[in-house]
Amino acid sequence: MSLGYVLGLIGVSSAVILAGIGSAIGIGTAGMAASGAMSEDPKKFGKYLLLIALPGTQGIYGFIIAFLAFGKLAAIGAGADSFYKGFSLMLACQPIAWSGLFSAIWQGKVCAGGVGMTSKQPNESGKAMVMAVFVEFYAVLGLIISIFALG
Amino acid sequence: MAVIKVNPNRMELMNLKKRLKLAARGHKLLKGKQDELVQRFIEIVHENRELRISVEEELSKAYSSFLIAKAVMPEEELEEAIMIPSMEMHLTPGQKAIMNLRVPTFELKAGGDPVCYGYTETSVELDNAIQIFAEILKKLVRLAEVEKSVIELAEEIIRTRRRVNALEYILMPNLQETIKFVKMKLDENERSTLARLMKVKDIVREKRQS
Amino acid sequence: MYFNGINFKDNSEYSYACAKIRALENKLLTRNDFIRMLDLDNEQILQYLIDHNYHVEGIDPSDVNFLQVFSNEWSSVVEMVTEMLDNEMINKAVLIKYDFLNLKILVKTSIQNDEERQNVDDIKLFQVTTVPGDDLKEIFFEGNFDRLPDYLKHEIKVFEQIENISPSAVDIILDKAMYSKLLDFANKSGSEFLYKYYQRLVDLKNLLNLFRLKSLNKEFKDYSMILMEGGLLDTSTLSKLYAESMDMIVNRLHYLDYYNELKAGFDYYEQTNSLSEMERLFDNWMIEFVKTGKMVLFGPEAIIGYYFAKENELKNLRIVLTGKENNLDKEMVTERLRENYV
Repeated sequence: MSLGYVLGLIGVSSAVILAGIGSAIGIGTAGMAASGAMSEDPKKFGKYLLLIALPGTQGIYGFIIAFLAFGKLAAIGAGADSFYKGFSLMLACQPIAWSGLFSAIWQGKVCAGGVGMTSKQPNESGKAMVMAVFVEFYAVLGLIISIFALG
Repeated sequence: MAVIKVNPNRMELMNLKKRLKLAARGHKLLKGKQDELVQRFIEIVHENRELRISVEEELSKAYSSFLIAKAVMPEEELEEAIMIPSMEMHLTPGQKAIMNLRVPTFELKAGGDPVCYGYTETSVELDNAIQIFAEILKKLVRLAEVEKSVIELAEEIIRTRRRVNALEYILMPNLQETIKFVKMKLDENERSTLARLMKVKDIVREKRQS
Repeated sequence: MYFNGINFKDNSEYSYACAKIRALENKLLTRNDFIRMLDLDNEQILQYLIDHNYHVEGIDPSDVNFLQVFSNEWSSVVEMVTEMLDNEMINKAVLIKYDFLNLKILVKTSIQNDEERQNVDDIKLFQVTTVPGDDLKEIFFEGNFDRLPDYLKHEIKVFEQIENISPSAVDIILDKAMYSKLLDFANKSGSEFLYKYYQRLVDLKNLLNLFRLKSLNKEFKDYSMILMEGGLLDTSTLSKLYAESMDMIVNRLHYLDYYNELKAGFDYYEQTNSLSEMERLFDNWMIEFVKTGKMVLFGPEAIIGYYFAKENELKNLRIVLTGKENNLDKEMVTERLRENYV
């Protein structure tokens, strides 16, 4: 057990925790909006489902990175460079942690807006999805950089 | 034609002739009155008709603008707005004579503001309606006056015409007939007296010869 | 369209309520609906209203009492909106209108002649208010005003001091007090949208009243009594305008956002001697303003907007139904319909 290992662990957990928090808030916002809309029109559940689920992807990305990083934890060892190895592992987790946190929250808002739009214009739900996916894009960038950094 | 039962004598004849003259004069006078009444009646009927048309027009306008006000404002707000009127009316009845005929007159004294509500929470449509109603009231009272006069006049005309007709077609012909009858009777009496006298003369002459 | 760059705050707490409002906005009646209704019979209209989420429980379809339907619908809307807003100040800024209406009815009852006066039990008051109507009635007739909240207490005390008050003065005093309280609560609530709404409403009412009083040949004294403070238009500006002729006033106000409405309304007045078109255009302008609330994704604005939209819808419905019931000219009815929210 070394300081490097602890730092690595902090990185792993931050990827799951921060991205998870973001997804939870995002889904919460979108979900509230969807339930509000469905209280007047329950038939549109299918259309809202994707919009509610979309902010959840950041949590999954965080989980993937955490999983990958977890595999590297063992390689940190207790050598002289273990601190640097652990620290860089932690840093590698940060892109998805933070981009996941904020992009999920904002994506939740976009999705909630999309729910509102879909309830007025049922045929335009695709456009609402596209807008939400734009936000998703930045979470994906974070994910890619995290993967590269881990690699 | 019926003949009045009278004793056919000269005295009666004179009376009858006097009565006929009187009836003829009365007839003429009544006829004049009737003509005048009809003339007045026509005038007043015209006024009445014009008034009625304009009142009806304005009333329907007032009602429809009131309905619109009722539509634009929630019921409760409208009721609150017109809960207490602030306009005061005093109606003084009077009388006026048209050719001896008494017809009613009304004098309307309206005081106070017709607008009995605050402006901010009421609709403009209510102003329109209330204003028309306030204006129409004077006309309505005048209409009541005129309409009553029309009815009174019409009744008076009917009464007068009945009298004229009674004189023209019953009393006067009857009198004329009676006069004729009395005259005939008197003539006949005269003739029979004459005949009797001649007969008496004949008898006297026969007795003298024999 | 943003009016003077209102800063709409984002507020995700309202995401449930706002999405629900969005779904409800779909059910609002449109102008075409109203025009179609003119040709339907009562039963069909009732069906129409049911399709648009109206609350018609306990209404006999063969003999529809639409006034009942409206007041049911309105109280359910008020209840829903206040529940959604869940902000004491905003709720007050929406509801005290009906407190003041109740108060007006009560004060007027108390100055009525004895022979005209209604039985106390027969007075019908609004119940969805900050002080429920029945409580207010009880407090009012007991004279125990200390139980009232401050904003109502003060106004009642005013009336205790005046004797022989005219009915219009009751309205004027209470209307003025109401708008100052509405502005005050809207300001305190932190909802810039609501505050600006009332500011503009006060302006439009002041302006419309200016024309109304001039058309009724009233004196400046009367106008200065009903002139309300708190709008964007300075009261001294409006006071000065009163002495001028109507078309001059219109020209002087060319810088206003609602100059076009003012001008069109005045043109109509010159033709028909009726200010109804100006009133309608001002109503429309307010609805245009309320529509900006729809831009906000989450926030009280959308809910407040819906509230005013519903108020407007009921007004339109009443116009249509009164027109139908009394066989008013269809053109007359349609030209009085207000702009729609959706």
